[in-house]
Amino acid sequence: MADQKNFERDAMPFAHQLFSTALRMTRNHAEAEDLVQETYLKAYRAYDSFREGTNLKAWLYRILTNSYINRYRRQMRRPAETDLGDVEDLYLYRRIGDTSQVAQSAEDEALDMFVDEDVKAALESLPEQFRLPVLLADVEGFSYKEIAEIMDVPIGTVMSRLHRGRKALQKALWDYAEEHGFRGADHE
Amino acid sequence: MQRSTVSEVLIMSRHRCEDAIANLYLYLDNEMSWPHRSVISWHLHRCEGCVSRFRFEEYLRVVVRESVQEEPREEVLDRLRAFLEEHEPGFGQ
Repeated sequence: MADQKNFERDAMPFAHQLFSTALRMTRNHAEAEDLVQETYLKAYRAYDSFREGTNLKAWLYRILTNSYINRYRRQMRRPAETDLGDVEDLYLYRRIGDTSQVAQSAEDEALDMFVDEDVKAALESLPEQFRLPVLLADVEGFSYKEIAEIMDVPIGTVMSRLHRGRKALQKALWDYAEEHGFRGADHE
Repeated sequence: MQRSTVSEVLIMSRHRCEDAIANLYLYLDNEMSWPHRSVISWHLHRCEGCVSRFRFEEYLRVVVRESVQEEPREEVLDRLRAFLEEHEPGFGQ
């Protein structure tokens, strides 16, 4: 079991990553800071129960996610019935490919049109149950098994939410690009 | 040994594309068994269409990761330490 004396040395280096995730969860600076403070207080108090040598980052993320869900449970709408029925796989790749005159790697280059704020807005627009797995997998690099433990859901649920979340993110990005008049990198 | 006909090769290769695309995320997420992964790697070395799709999804992930990560200002971390010291006098001792 871990020694509380080592908590600061072991756990504090993850604070900036947890803060970044908390910001995408709450969409608000002050609330993200509160959430990270709550997470670290709980983690400190429970540190004696953390098994040394296991994944500390995943353990901290589990506390962060639980704290977030408990705090915002009331505000969380019922899982939004996002209609992704007509969103095919590789949605963004196909849309960009259809629009540009498909020079080699035009699709990759087209992604550079998105500035940070566009991507943040697209991610933050995702319904909760999709946003968390996308954040945990694509931003934080957790495995399906780790995400299942962090979110306390079966691996199959992680995979299906991640799949739908990625589609929803691509659709949000494309909708945003269209709204702002994107018509293809090489178009006219 | 009988050689495959052109149409057999085309059908086989189309199936490989379908297999690669169906497993694109499992591949990029590093969640595949190695025998299957090596079959897809082999295909990716020979199929420009699939490579460009894989590269796109991989690059999208880089764009997302780099866009949303934020370093907190130093005072945020200072406030976190102060908060823990206030609530847990043993913290930082």
